Amino acid sequence: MLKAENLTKQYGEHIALDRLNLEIKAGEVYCLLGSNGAGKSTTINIFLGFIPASDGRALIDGQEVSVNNAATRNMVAYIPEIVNLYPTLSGMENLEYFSALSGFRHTKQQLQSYMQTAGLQSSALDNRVSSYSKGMRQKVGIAIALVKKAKALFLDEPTSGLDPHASNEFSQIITRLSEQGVSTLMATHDLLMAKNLGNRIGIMHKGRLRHEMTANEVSDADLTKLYIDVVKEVI
Amino acid sequence: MNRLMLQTIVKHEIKLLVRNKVLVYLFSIIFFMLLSALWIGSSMYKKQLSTIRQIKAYDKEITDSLRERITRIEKEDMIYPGFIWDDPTFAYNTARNEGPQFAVKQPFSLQALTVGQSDLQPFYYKVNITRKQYLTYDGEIGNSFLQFIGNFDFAFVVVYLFPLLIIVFTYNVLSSEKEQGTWVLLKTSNQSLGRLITARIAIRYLLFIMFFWMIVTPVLVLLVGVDFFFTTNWWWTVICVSLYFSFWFALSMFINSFSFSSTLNAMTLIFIWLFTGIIVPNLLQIGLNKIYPIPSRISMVTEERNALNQYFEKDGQTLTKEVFNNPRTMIRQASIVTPGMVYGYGVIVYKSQEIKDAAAAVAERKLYGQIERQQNAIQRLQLLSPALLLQEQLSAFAGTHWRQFNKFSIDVDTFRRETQRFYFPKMAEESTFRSFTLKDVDAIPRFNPKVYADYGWTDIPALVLTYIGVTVVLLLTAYKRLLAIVK
Repeated sequence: MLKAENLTKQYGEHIALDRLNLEIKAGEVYCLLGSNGAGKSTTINIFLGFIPASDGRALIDGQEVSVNNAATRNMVAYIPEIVNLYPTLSGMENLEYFSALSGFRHTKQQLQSYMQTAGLQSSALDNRVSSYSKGMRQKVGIAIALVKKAKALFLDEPTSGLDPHASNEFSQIITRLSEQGVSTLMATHDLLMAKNLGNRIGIMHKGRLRHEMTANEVSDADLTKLYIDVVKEVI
Repeated sequence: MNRLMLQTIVKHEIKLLVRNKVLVYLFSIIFFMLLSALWIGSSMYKKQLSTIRQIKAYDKEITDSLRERITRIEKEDMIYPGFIWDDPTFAYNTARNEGPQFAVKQPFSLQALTVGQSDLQPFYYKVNITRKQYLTYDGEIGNSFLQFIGNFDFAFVVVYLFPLLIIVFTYNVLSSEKEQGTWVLLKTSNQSLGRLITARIAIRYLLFIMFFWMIVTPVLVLLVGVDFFFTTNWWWTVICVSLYFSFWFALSMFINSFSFSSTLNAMTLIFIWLFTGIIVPNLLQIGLNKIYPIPSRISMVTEERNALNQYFEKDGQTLTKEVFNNPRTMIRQASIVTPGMVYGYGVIVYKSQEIKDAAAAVAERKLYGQIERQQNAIQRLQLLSPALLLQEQLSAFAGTHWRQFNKFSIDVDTFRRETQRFYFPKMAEESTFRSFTLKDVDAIPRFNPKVYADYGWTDIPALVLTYIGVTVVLLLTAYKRLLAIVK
């Protein structure tokens, strides 16, 4: 579903992403670990078409992002660290708007059911987003992805700042989406979350993918050690 | 972008606008000012109508009185019991006393929109055979004839305040998405953001225009009646104001397309507003007043007086001597006022009037020549400032432009000459001193009041096309830039 072929991003002399190769299958959750500036967000931004790659190709369902951006945009949803919505509109109104922009027309009941699937309590649906917590905004973001019937989900530090309960709820939703065949590429600092949620884990540092493993083949302790080693090794 | 999506965007825009408290307060304040301006304009219009009604009543009263007094004199063997200078059977007396008629510029109902020059220029004159009317009130002129920033009226609110409202309405359509972070979700939607931003600005424009005219039209009908609705002046007003608004929306979209921050967008737009709306017109005003200075009214009056004195000192000597020493008039010799004296003064007045008028014409040419040159320069330069251009056009459509008052003054002058032609032969009638009869009362020339709302001197279609062109270029450039920036 998602494929990076020698994906490179260079800003002048600085190489933000260095010949990244990875492939994520349908329904797979791939977690990218790495410190700040490792190239995780750059990878996501190239897949989303926000920034062009300097070299290499990013493909979504076989379509190259830089060539057919409109088509690839139809297939993706993005949940950043903070989901920014229109603060003067309610969660439902935001969902209705973004759903319409994605070309879908849903009844109020349908939109409510998407919100419920995303885990937002019904009493909050008609409240203005300005009163929402970070976790509630994340849920609206997920509802937008659900409405859009996205084939690929890009998450950038989605659980940063969430309390354990909200974080757990979030993981469950991603797992459910994965079971429905949605491919997920998640950038995170959270080793535990990556281990529990991801099918595969990649560790990046200074723009390069240093290690790649399946979540099952590594223990929490080993993952932590490996992560620290990678960072130290490069330093 | 299909119909359903457009509906959603319209709903979305309305919600965003209605829930923006700053915008709602500002909108309310400016619309309140607009309604106040309409009320002020219509009050001035109604006041003029009321004055005209009073003038008509006064005219009738004076004419009836004149008719009655002459009838009485004719019945009583031409014996007038009062002061001889008031005896209406002397043409000179009637010409001075009851004879002067009012010449009225009938106000046009759209004057409620644009006061223009109507608070500076008289809309009626009492037409005197011995005195030339001036296109200003009798006091020294305090204001310039280039009255760019005029009264607090509809035109002022539309020309100077509405661009500010449009700026607040549109300055951050793109930047706010970036600043509040919704940009990210929009970029992953299926829509072209260039088209989306364009659609949003277009929707805001349509909402704005609809709301504006839905308020202004019924309020205006309520205040001044429905007649204006069937005039081309009104429809040109609608076209020009809507185009002016579209220019500001297009400009705002153009500035938005540079993808600056909201603050920089607002600052840039406000600078353009200040520059084109205030600085350019004021520079033109100062510059044109320097190039074509308006002569002082005091110097004009002095010039006239000097010309007259010169006449009486030289060329007028013969006439004065002839009249003063003629046994028929006996001005010098008589210790009491005689009919001959009244006649004699009449003769002096009408014979010297030509000289006075010629002197006045010289001074007048200096004044009006300069104003005319200023106006011609403005007509050439008005394209530099959309605010100035609209102000000029709105005055023209409302019948309150300087040129329309000037046309009125020219008509009044023609009427004055007609009145002179009526009185002078009677004043100089040699067979009898008392030449004014009852039959003459009905023959006194009357001015036919009319509306001066013709705007033929302005090339409206060309100006409108020019601004449509400017607006379209701005829109297309902005659209191209938006597509490139946010693709």
